[in-house]
Amino acid sequence: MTQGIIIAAFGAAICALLSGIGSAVGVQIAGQAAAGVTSDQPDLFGKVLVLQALPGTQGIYGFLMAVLILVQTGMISGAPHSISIMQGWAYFAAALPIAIVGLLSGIAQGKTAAAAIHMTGKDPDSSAKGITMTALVETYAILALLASILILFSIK
Amino acid sequence: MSGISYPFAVGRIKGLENKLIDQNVWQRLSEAEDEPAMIKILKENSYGSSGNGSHTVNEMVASELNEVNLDIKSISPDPTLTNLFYYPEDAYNIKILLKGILIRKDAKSLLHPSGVIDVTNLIDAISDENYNDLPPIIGKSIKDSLDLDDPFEISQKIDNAVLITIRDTLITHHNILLKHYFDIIFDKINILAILRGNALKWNPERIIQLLFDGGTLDPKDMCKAIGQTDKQLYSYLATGPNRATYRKILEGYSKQHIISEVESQLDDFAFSTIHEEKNDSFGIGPIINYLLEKRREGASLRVMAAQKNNPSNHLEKKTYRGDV
Repeated sequence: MTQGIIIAAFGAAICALLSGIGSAVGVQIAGQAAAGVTSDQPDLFGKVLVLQALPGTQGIYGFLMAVLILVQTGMISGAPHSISIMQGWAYFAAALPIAIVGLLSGIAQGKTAAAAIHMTGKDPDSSAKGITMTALVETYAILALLASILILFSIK
Repeated sequence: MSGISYPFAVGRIKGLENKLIDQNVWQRLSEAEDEPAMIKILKENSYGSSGNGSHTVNEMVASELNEVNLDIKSISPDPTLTNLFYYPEDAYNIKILLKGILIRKDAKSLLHPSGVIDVTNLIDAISDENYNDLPPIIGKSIKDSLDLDDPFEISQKIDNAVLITIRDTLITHHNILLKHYFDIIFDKINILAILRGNALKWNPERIIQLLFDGGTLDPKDMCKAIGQTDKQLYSYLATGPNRATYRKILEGYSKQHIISEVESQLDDFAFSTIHEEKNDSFGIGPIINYLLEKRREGASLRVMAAQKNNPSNHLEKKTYRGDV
């Protein structure tokens, strides 16, 4: 196993790890708000569950990127390609956008989701507005994922 | 901290806020012919539902507020901060018990159950003269008050101890929103003491004794305001970060000379600081806003019921202002 592969493996690990943490924290924050609302209004469970789930997508994006790096470097098949240190750092750089943006946007989206859940608790008919507001935070996670993928596929 | 998070607590509050009386119900209540008609409307809206045996609006309000207090205490992420709003209930209980001792009457039936200090513990502490379980400043004030025979002095000592407890708690448990709120409350106490003292032409020493060492007003300016005419007051009292609002209120006072209006406007101003934070998903604002809204709602219902019971009584017609 070359040094390049180890650096690429770190890249794969870090994007799954950081974006996973971001999602976990975001879902936790939204979950607390959802628990508060549904303890008095159990019939709102379906509406608030959608909002609670939204910050979970960053973790999926991070995992997807990690899998793509593992596929590109051959690690997923158990026969890693021979790649240089420079290529290893390039894979690491590809992981960074979704890793960092996933971490921060997951938490930010969790906070927005909590506010939207509170809005739904006060006025159940406003849940669609809440979903739209919360989903807007997602834009930046998607752009980061796109940047990560573009960098990944530009590595020769 | 209680282990409960603010997002959870605010989530529960948002559900509870739906139980606040809305404008349509207020309209129906104001059109109700008498108190029984008001009770009927309140029951339809599940107001005060825990007190099924309530026969008066006053009893329903007491039952509803008791339920609100239990809710707030069960969901408060930081009980030390929410307790600040219940210390005045303790002051009331302590004053009742001490004045009961003074006139040799059992006043236990008049106690409020919603204070920070458990009523039974408070009775035991006073009867055993053991104040170790009470907040130290409050314990000391009770001890000192037992030697007094002037009810006014007892009230002043206990109120002061409670205000010091609130002020000191805010120094150790820093919270910008509550600091702002209680600064206005402390200023209100000082402004009203000066206005009343001036109106009644008390000697300056007596007024100075009533001033509390807290809030945003400079003690030197407050002393200078003593004995001034109503038109000069705002030069001394409209100072600090809230000077624009205080100036407006004091200018109104210089024209109308109604102290209760000043009190009401300062209360509204303090409430508005909390009300502005009612949608903060991660802070204490919505919890306190709900508590204050329920208290104001209860006060409005009591005034409305009193008006209906005695239409000739020209009580100040209060309109409920949930949204200030």
